[in-house]
Amino acid sequence: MANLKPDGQWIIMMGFLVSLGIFYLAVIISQSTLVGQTTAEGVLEFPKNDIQDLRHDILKVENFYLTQCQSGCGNTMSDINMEIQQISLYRKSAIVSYNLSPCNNGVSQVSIYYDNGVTTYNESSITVDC
Amino acid sequence: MVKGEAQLYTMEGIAAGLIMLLTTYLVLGSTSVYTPGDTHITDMQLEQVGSDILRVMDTPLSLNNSLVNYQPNRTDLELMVNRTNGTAFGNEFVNTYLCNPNAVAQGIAVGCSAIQVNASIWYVGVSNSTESYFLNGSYVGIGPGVRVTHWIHTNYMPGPPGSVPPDMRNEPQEVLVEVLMWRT
Repeated sequence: MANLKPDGQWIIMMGFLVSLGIFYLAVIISQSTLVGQTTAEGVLEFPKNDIQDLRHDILKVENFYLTQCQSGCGNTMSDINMEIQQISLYRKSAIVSYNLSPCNNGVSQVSIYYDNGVTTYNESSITVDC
Repeated sequence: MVKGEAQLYTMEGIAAGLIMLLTTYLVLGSTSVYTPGDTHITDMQLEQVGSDILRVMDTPLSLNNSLVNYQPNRTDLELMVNRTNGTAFGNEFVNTYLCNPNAVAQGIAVGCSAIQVNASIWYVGVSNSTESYFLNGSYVGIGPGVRVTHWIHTNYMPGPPGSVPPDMRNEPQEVLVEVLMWRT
Protein backbone atom coordinates (compact mmCIF):
# COMPACT_ATOMS: atom_id res chain seq x y z
CA MET A 1 0.00 0.00 0.00
CA ALA A 2 3.02 2.20 -0.20
CA ASN A 3 2.19 4.09 -3.34
CA LEU A 4 -1.48 4.84 -2.63
CA LYS A 5 -2.78 8.18 -3.76
CA PRO A 6 -5.76 9.65 -1.92
CA ASP A 7 -7.25 11.32 -5.01
CA GLY A 8 -9.85 8.68 -5.80
CA GLN A 9 -11.25 8.10 -2.34
CA TRP A 10 -14.49 9.97 -2.93
CA ILE A 11 -15.20 7.76 -5.94
CA ILE A 12 -14.89 4.71 -3.70
CA MET A 13 -17.10 6.30 -1.06
CA MET A 14 -19.80 7.16 -3.58
CA GLY A 15 -19.60 3.62 -4.86
CA PHE A 16 -20.32 2.28 -1.42
CA LEU A 17 -23.15 4.74 -0.85
CA VAL A 18 -24.85 3.91 -4.14
CA SER A 19 -24.54 0.20 -3.56
CA LEU A 20 -26.01 0.57 -0.06
CA GLY A 21 -28.90 2.52 -1.58
CA ILE A 22 -29.56 -0.19 -4.12
CA PHE A 23 -29.40 -2.79 -1.37
CA TYR A 24 -31.93 -0.87 0.71
CA LEU A 25 -34.33 -0.53 -2.25
CA ALA A 26 -34.02 -4.23 -2.99
CA VAL A 27 -35.03 -5.09 0.57
CA ILE A 28 -38.10 -2.85 0.27
CA ILE A 29 -39.09 -4.47 -3.01
CA SER A 30 -38.74 -7.93 -1.57
CA GLN A 31 -41.02 -7.00 1.34
CA SER A 32 -43.71 -5.37 -0.79
CA THR A 33 -45.18 -8.60 -2.13
CA LEU A 34 -45.61 -9.98 1.33
CA VAL A 35 -47.21 -6.80 2.62
CA GLY A 36 -49.61 -6.67 -0.31
CA GLN A 37 -50.52 -10.29 0.23
CA THR A 38 -51.38 -9.89 3.90
CA THR A 39 -53.36 -6.72 3.27
CA ALA A 40 -55.38 -8.32 0.48
CA GLU A 41 -56.04 -11.38 2.61
CA GLY A 42 -57.23 -9.19 5.44
CA VAL A 43 -59.76 -7.57 3.16
CA LEU A 44 -60.87 -10.82 1.56
CA GLU A 45 -61.28 -12.72 4.78
CA PHE A 46 -63.24 -10.13 6.68
CA PRO A 47 -66.88 -11.33 6.62
CA LYS A 48 -68.31 -7.90 5.95
CA ASN A 49 -71.60 -9.06 4.46
CA ASP A 50 -72.21 -11.60 7.20
CA ILE A 51 -71.76 -9.05 9.93
CA GLN A 52 -73.80 -6.35 8.22
CA ASP A 53 -76.58 -8.80 7.61
CA LEU A 54 -76.57 -10.05 11.18
CA ARG A 55 -76.64 -6.52 12.50
CA HIS A 56 -79.49 -5.55 10.20
CA ASP A 57 -81.54 -8.52 11.31
CA ILE A 58 -80.87 -8.14 15.01
CA LEU A 59 -82.00 -4.53 14.93
CA LYS A 60 -85.11 -5.61 13.08
CA VAL A 61 -85.83 -8.36 15.61
CA GLU A 62 -85.33 -5.94 18.43
CA ASN A 63 -87.78 -3.51 16.88
CA PHE A 64 -90.31 -6.27 16.33
CA TYR A 65 -90.19 -7.47 19.91
CA LEU A 66 -90.20 -4.05 21.48
CA THR A 67 -92.99 -2.54 19.42
CA GLN A 68 -95.29 -5.27 18.08
CA CYS A 69 -94.72 -8.12 20.43
CA GLN A 70 -94.66 -6.72 23.93
CA SER A 71 -97.19 -9.20 25.26
CA GLY A 72 -95.31 -12.17 23.84
CA CYS A 73 -95.54 -13.93 20.50
CA GLY A 74 -94.84 -17.50 21.57
CA ASN A 75 -91.13 -17.06 21.05
CA THR A 76 -88.93 -14.76 23.08
CA MET A 77 -85.85 -12.82 22.12
CA SER A 78 -83.61 -15.29 23.89
CA ASP A 79 -85.15 -18.03 21.75
CA ILE A 80 -84.31 -15.97 18.68
CA ASN A 81 -80.78 -15.59 19.99
CA MET A 82 -80.51 -19.36 20.34
CA GLU A 83 -81.83 -19.85 16.82
CA ILE A 84 -79.31 -17.44 15.36
CA GLN A 85 -76.54 -19.19 17.28
CA GLN A 86 -77.64 -22.63 16.17
CA ILE A 87 -78.04 -21.82 12.47
CA SER A 88 -74.81 -19.79 12.45
CA LEU A 89 -72.86 -22.68 13.88
CA TYR A 90 -74.48 -25.13 11.51
CA ARG A 91 -74.24 -23.19 8.27
CA LYS A 92 -71.58 -20.55 8.71
CA SER A 93 -69.19 -22.08 11.23
CA ALA A 94 -69.44 -18.90 13.23
CA ILE A 95 -70.08 -18.32 16.88
CA VAL A 96 -72.56 -15.54 17.20
CA SER A 97 -74.39 -14.03 20.07
CA TYR A 98 -76.06 -10.80 20.88
CA ASN A 99 -77.36 -9.10 23.94
CA LEU A 100 -79.95 -6.44 24.33
CA SER A 101 -80.20 -4.22 27.34
CA PRO A 102 -83.68 -3.32 28.58
CA CYS A 103 -85.25 -0.23 27.15
CA ASN A 104 -84.40 2.80 29.22
CA ASN A 105 -85.94 6.19 28.33
CA GLY A 106 -86.35 5.12 24.73
CA VAL A 107 -82.75 4.00 24.40
CA SER A 108 -81.38 0.49 24.47
CA GLN A 109 -77.97 -0.95 23.81
CA VAL A 110 -77.29 -3.86 21.50
CA SER A 111 -74.04 -5.77 21.67
CA ILE A 112 -73.09 -8.22 18.95
CA TYR A 113 -70.34 -10.81 19.08
CA TYR A 114 -69.13 -12.62 15.98
CA ASP A 115 -66.27 -15.11 15.67
CA ASN A 116 -65.68 -17.37 12.70
CA GLY A 117 -62.24 -18.55 13.71
CA VAL A 118 -60.43 -15.99 11.59
CA THR A 119 -62.22 -12.82 12.51
CA THR A 120 -63.45 -11.82 15.93
CA TYR A 121 -65.79 -8.90 15.93
CA ASN A 122 -67.48 -7.03 18.74
CA GLU A 123 -69.94 -4.26 18.36
CA SER A 124 -72.05 -2.16 20.64
CA SER A 125 -74.67 0.08 19.18
CA ILE A 126 -77.40 2.15 20.66
CA THR A 127 -80.88 2.16 19.28
CA VAL A 128 -83.35 4.85 20.08
CA ASP A 129 -86.60 3.51 18.72
CA CYS A 130 -87.65 1.22 21.53
CA MET B 1 7.48 -7.97 -9.07
CA VAL B 2 4.18 -7.19 -7.35
CA LYS B 3 3.17 -3.59 -7.15
CA GLY B 4 0.88 -2.36 -4.39
CA GLU B 5 -0.82 0.41 -6.40
CA ALA B 6 -4.08 -1.30 -7.18
CA GLN B 7 -4.71 -3.03 -3.88
CA LEU B 8 -7.41 -0.60 -2.81
CA TYR B 9 -9.27 -1.16 -6.05
CA THR B 10 -9.13 -4.88 -5.50
CA MET B 11 -10.57 -4.51 -2.02
CA GLU B 12 -13.31 -2.27 -3.33
CA GLY B 13 -14.12 -4.73 -6.02
CA ILE B 14 -14.40 -7.56 -3.50
CA ALA B 15 -16.59 -5.49 -1.17
CA ALA B 16 -18.89 -4.44 -4.04
CA GLY B 17 -19.10 -8.01 -5.20
CA LEU B 18 -20.09 -9.14 -1.71
CA ILE B 19 -22.79 -6.48 -1.46
CA MET B 20 -24.19 -7.45 -4.86
CA LEU B 21 -24.19 -11.12 -3.93
CA LEU B 22 -25.95 -10.38 -0.64
CA THR B 23 -28.57 -8.29 -2.41
CA THR B 24 -29.27 -10.96 -5.00
CA TYR B 25 -29.46 -13.57 -2.28
CA LEU B 26 -32.02 -11.56 -0.32
CA VAL B 27 -34.13 -10.68 -3.34
CA LEU B 28 -34.19 -14.17 -4.78
CA GLY B 29 -34.64 -15.80 -1.40
CA SER B 30 -37.60 -13.71 -0.34
CA THR B 31 -40.98 -15.38 -0.65
CA SER B 32 -42.85 -14.15 -3.65
CA VAL B 33 -46.52 -15.03 -3.34
CA TYR B 34 -48.72 -14.95 -6.37
CA THR B 35 -52.42 -14.58 -5.61
CA PRO B 36 -55.01 -15.44 -8.21
CA GLY B 37 -56.16 -11.86 -8.04
CA ASP B 38 -58.66 -11.85 -10.88
CA THR B 39 -60.83 -14.70 -9.68
CA HIS B 40 -60.88 -13.30 -6.16
CA ILE B 41 -62.00 -9.91 -7.34
CA THR B 42 -64.85 -11.16 -9.51
CA ASP B 43 -65.90 -13.54 -6.75
CA MET B 44 -66.14 -10.63 -4.39
CA GLN B 45 -68.19 -8.78 -6.97
CA LEU B 46 -70.57 -11.67 -7.36
CA GLU B 47 -70.89 -12.03 -3.60
CA GLN B 48 -71.63 -8.35 -3.20
CA VAL B 49 -74.22 -8.37 -5.96
CA GLY B 50 -75.95 -11.42 -4.51
CA SER B 51 -75.91 -9.98 -1.05
CA ASP B 52 -77.32 -6.70 -2.30
CA ILE B 53 -80.10 -8.44 -4.20
CA LEU B 54 -81.15 -10.37 -1.10
CA ARG B 55 -81.19 -7.15 0.88
CA VAL B 56 -83.28 -5.38 -1.72
CA MET B 57 -85.71 -8.29 -1.75
CA ASP B 58 -85.96 -7.97 2.01
CA THR B 59 -87.41 -4.48 2.00
CA PRO B 60 -91.06 -3.96 2.92
CA LEU B 61 -93.62 -4.33 0.18
CA SER B 62 -95.39 -1.59 -1.64
CA LEU B 63 -99.15 -1.31 -1.48
CA ASN B 64 -99.87 -2.73 -4.91
CA ASN B 65 -97.60 -5.75 -4.82
CA SER B 66 -99.09 -8.55 -6.86
CA LEU B 67 -97.65 -11.35 -4.76
CA VAL B 68 -100.08 -11.08 -1.92
CA ASN B 69 -102.62 -8.79 -0.38
CA TYR B 70 -101.12 -5.88 1.42
CA GLN B 71 -99.24 -7.06 4.49
CA PRO B 72 -97.61 -4.33 6.50
CA ASN B 73 -93.98 -4.87 7.45
CA ARG B 74 -93.62 -7.93 5.30
CA THR B 75 -91.13 -8.20 2.51
CA ASP B 76 -91.05 -10.11 -0.74
CA LEU B 77 -88.37 -12.37 0.60
CA GLU B 78 -90.25 -13.07 3.80
CA LEU B 79 -93.42 -13.94 1.93
CA MET B 80 -91.59 -16.26 -0.43
CA VAL B 81 -89.91 -17.98 2.47
CA ASN B 82 -93.15 -18.24 4.39
CA ARG B 83 -94.85 -19.93 1.48
CA THR B 84 -91.67 -21.58 0.20
CA ASN B 85 -92.45 -20.08 -3.18
CA GLY B 86 -89.29 -21.13 -4.98
CA THR B 87 -90.53 -20.17 -8.42
CA ALA B 88 -91.26 -16.61 -7.38
CA PHE B 89 -87.91 -16.45 -5.64
CA GLY B 90 -86.05 -17.57 -8.75
CA ASN B 91 -87.98 -15.15 -10.93
CA GLU B 92 -87.33 -12.20 -8.72
CA PHE B 93 -83.71 -12.98 -7.89
CA VAL B 94 -82.61 -13.79 -11.42
CA ASN B 95 -84.98 -11.97 -13.76
CA THR B 96 -85.92 -8.88 -11.80
CA TYR B 97 -82.56 -8.10 -10.27
CA LEU B 98 -79.60 -10.14 -11.51
CA CYS B 99 -80.53 -9.95 -15.19
CA ASN B 100 -82.24 -6.59 -15.16
CA PRO B 101 -80.81 -4.67 -18.13
CA ASN B 102 -80.99 -1.47 -16.12
CA ALA B 103 -79.26 -2.89 -13.09
CA VAL B 104 -75.62 -2.68 -12.21
CA ALA B 105 -75.50 -6.46 -11.83
CA GLN B 106 -75.07 -6.54 -15.60
CA GLY B 107 -71.63 -5.20 -15.00
CA ILE B 108 -70.40 -8.57 -13.79
CA ALA B 109 -67.85 -9.69 -16.31
CA VAL B 110 -69.67 -12.55 -17.99
CA GLY B 111 -73.25 -11.33 -17.91
CA CYS B 112 -76.09 -12.85 -16.01
CA SER B 113 -77.00 -15.70 -18.32
CA ALA B 114 -73.84 -17.52 -17.34
CA ILE B 115 -74.59 -17.35 -13.63
CA GLN B 116 -76.32 -20.23 -11.94
CA VAL B 117 -78.20 -19.89 -8.69
CA ASN B 118 -79.18 -22.43 -6.07
CA ALA B 119 -81.22 -21.26 -3.11
CA SER B 120 -82.37 -22.93 0.07
CA ILE B 121 -83.59 -21.86 3.46
CA TRP B 122 -82.41 -23.03 6.87
CA TYR B 123 -84.43 -22.87 10.05
CA VAL B 124 -84.82 -24.50 13.42
CA GLY B 125 -87.60 -27.04 13.06
CA VAL B 126 -90.15 -28.46 15.51
CA SER B 127 -87.66 -31.00 16.81
CA ASN B 128 -85.13 -28.22 17.55
CA SER B 129 -82.75 -29.42 14.87
CA THR B 130 -81.54 -27.36 11.95
CA GLU B 131 -83.62 -28.11 8.90
CA SER B 132 -83.36 -27.02 5.29
CA TYR B 133 -85.77 -26.58 2.46
CA PHE B 134 -84.77 -26.32 -1.18
CA LEU B 135 -86.18 -23.21 -2.80
CA ASN B 136 -84.98 -22.98 -6.35
CA GLY B 137 -81.96 -23.56 -8.52
CA SER B 138 -79.84 -25.74 -10.69
CA TYR B 139 -76.89 -28.05 -10.29
CA VAL B 140 -74.92 -27.51 -13.49
CA GLY B 141 -71.68 -25.67 -14.00
CA ILE B 142 -68.02 -25.83 -13.22
CA GLY B 143 -67.07 -22.36 -12.02
CA PRO B 144 -66.05 -21.53 -8.48
CA GLY B 145 -69.02 -20.53 -6.41
CA VAL B 146 -69.77 -17.98 -3.76
CA ARG B 147 -72.31 -18.29 -1.00
CA VAL B 148 -74.45 -15.35 -0.02
CA THR B 149 -76.77 -15.48 2.95
CA HIS B 150 -79.42 -13.33 4.47
CA TRP B 151 -81.14 -13.53 7.83
CA ILE B 152 -84.87 -13.10 7.93
CA HIS B 153 -86.97 -12.64 10.97
CA THR B 154 -90.34 -13.93 9.97
CA ASN B 155 -93.64 -14.30 11.68
CA TYR B 156 -94.76 -17.71 10.53
CA MET B 157 -97.81 -17.36 8.31
CA PRO B 158 -99.47 -20.48 7.02
CA GLY B 159 -100.12 -20.40 3.30
CA PRO B 160 -102.04 -22.88 1.17
CA PRO B 161 -101.79 -26.47 2.44
CA GLY B 162 -98.54 -28.17 1.59
CA SER B 163 -96.78 -24.92 0.81
CA VAL B 164 -94.87 -24.63 4.07
CA PRO B 165 -92.29 -27.13 5.24
CA PRO B 166 -94.19 -29.36 7.66
CA ASP B 167 -91.49 -29.16 10.30
CA MET B 168 -91.50 -25.38 10.50
CA ARG B 169 -92.64 -23.98 13.84
CA ASN B 170 -95.73 -21.85 14.06
CA GLU B 171 -94.24 -18.77 15.72
CA PRO B 172 -91.91 -15.85 14.99
CA GLN B 173 -88.51 -17.22 14.13
CA GLU B 174 -85.23 -16.77 12.34
CA VAL B 175 -84.70 -18.13 8.86
CA LEU B 176 -81.43 -18.10 6.95
CA VAL B 177 -81.77 -17.74 3.20
CA GLU B 178 -78.72 -19.20 1.53
CA VAL B 179 -77.94 -18.69 -2.15
CA LEU B 180 -75.07 -20.30 -3.99
CA MET B 181 -73.99 -18.43 -7.10
CA TRP B 182 -71.51 -19.65 -9.67
CA ARG B 183 -70.64 -19.42 -13.33
CA THR B 184 -71.30 -22.16 -15.79
